[in-house]
Amino acid sequence: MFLGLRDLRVSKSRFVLVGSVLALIALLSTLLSGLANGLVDDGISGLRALPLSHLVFQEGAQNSFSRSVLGPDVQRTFGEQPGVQVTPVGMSFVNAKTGDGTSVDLALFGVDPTGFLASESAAAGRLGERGGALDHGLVLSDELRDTVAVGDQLQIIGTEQLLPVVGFTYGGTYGHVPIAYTTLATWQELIYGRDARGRFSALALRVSGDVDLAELDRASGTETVAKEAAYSGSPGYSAETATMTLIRGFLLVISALVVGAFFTVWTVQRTRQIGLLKALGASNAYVARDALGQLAVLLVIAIVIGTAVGVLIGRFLGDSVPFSLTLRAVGGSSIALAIAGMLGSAAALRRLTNIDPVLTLAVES
Amino acid sequence: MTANEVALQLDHVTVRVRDGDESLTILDGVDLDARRGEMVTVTGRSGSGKSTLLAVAGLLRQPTSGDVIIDGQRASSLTARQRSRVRRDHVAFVHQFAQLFPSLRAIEQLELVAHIRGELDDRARRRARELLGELGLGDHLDRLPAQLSGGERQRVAIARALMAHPSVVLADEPTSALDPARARQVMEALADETRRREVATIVVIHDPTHLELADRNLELMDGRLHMAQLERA
Repeated sequence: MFLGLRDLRVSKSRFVLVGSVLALIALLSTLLSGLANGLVDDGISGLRALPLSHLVFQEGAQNSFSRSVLGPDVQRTFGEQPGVQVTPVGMSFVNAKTGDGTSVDLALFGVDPTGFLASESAAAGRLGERGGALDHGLVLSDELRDTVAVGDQLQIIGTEQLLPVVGFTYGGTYGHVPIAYTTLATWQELIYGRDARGRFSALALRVSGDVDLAELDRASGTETVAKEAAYSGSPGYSAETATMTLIRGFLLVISALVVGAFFTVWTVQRTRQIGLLKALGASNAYVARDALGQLAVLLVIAIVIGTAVGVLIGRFLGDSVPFSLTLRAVGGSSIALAIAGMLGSAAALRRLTNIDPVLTLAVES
Repeated sequence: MTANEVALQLDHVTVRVRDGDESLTILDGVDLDARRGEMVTVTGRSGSGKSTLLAVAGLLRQPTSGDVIIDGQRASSLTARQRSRVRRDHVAFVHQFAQLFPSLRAIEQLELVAHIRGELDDRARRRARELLGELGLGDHLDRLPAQLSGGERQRVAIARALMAHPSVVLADEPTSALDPARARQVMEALADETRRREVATIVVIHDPTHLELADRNLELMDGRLHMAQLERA
């Protein structure tokens, strides 16, 4: 990269211009990654935080708690299997009102206080401690700290039930709604009144060893999915992730086109210079290495700057926008952008290798 | 290799091109021997085929018929890759308007030649400094082309051409953009280096002044070389 690096040193203004465009694309890509991750977090962070490996839904429920109703027989079938820990989960979206009339939406999770979810989840500190004493109480996700306080009574709309707020924990959200934990019995009473008959929404499993879950599903009329697969049942999750993936895909294509266009124009402008390199004895491989190396340096610098600015902006966004960045997301988006850029330049490579060194001479014909 | 040995030979070289429905003969059975330590000028009107002659001699273009022999290697018997290698190892060009790389300092213009060959080390850097020093550019090593005069640029181009120890130097109108005084300096530099380093130099030149600096002057007319032996000044 003898010539490429020196070109970068001397023709700064030219490279700053295209570098800025690439940095802006990297910035946009980082922001989109943050938003995509934030949306995902907002959709399933509560479910992701639960210490379970699989969820059992009613057959045809499409991983949705709202569409699934299971009974004690399913709990028994799965619970009798060696290597399988089970605990029932009830989940419904409810609307509640505080004493001063403030309305809050809740993803209400009913869990068995003696089951592994209550004793080992992030909500353990509250549900586990209090055990059965939590009856008719709510442990709310931290997101609601600004809206309600411990000791407030929340009235669940559509029922006469008043539930006291007994504490806060990291509960996360599900379907973009803050999670509220209560006991399964309370949840059943809210949803089914006095006719619950042990019903719940899904069965949480922790599976160790080789267990034939498909066989259990056939016997119980259920569908068992791994926790990650259950994310798709969160309202809007699939549509949101598909939309964000599409936007990021387009951004990568745009990035490849921008780099390809720049590299093509740059190659055309350097035609005589490249011909001269070849006249001096440089092979096509040497010329391509030099040009691609130069582009790689430019891409890396632009992506690092754009990504850093994106991360910085993300920090100032606050809670108003669901924004979350992980090292993996930042790395993945940066690498994808760099690869797209290098692929975009491939189109111009052919032009580069086709340049004839004879053009350095004033040949008559 | 010794002085007076033929480094470049054009053996009945003919170049024809299509011009619409017609065939245009640019070079018509050209024969030329250039010996080590000899500078040959080729003059001719615009469009007479001078640069085509250089392109063929430098293995940048294949003739329609005939052959080019460089240091005993017949181009017609070589593959494209082998021709490129012969060009890289035996031939150097001094281009019209110098054609230096705008982003490289004078010393780097020469170092690039070594880098292309994978030979850029302290020895190569020392040689680059020495070559520029011998051509009167010792104080200009770190200057970019834009900071050099036309004559200085052309002398850097000559030094660059000599960097890889070529046996043949092909100069394409190296004085075309220079005033007479600078043009003479460049021609003198070319002639001196030709003899000192025992290379065969072909100089295509439009301006017929300073021809006495060459060992031979040829004129290209109607696709053929007409030889006019000159006495060395």
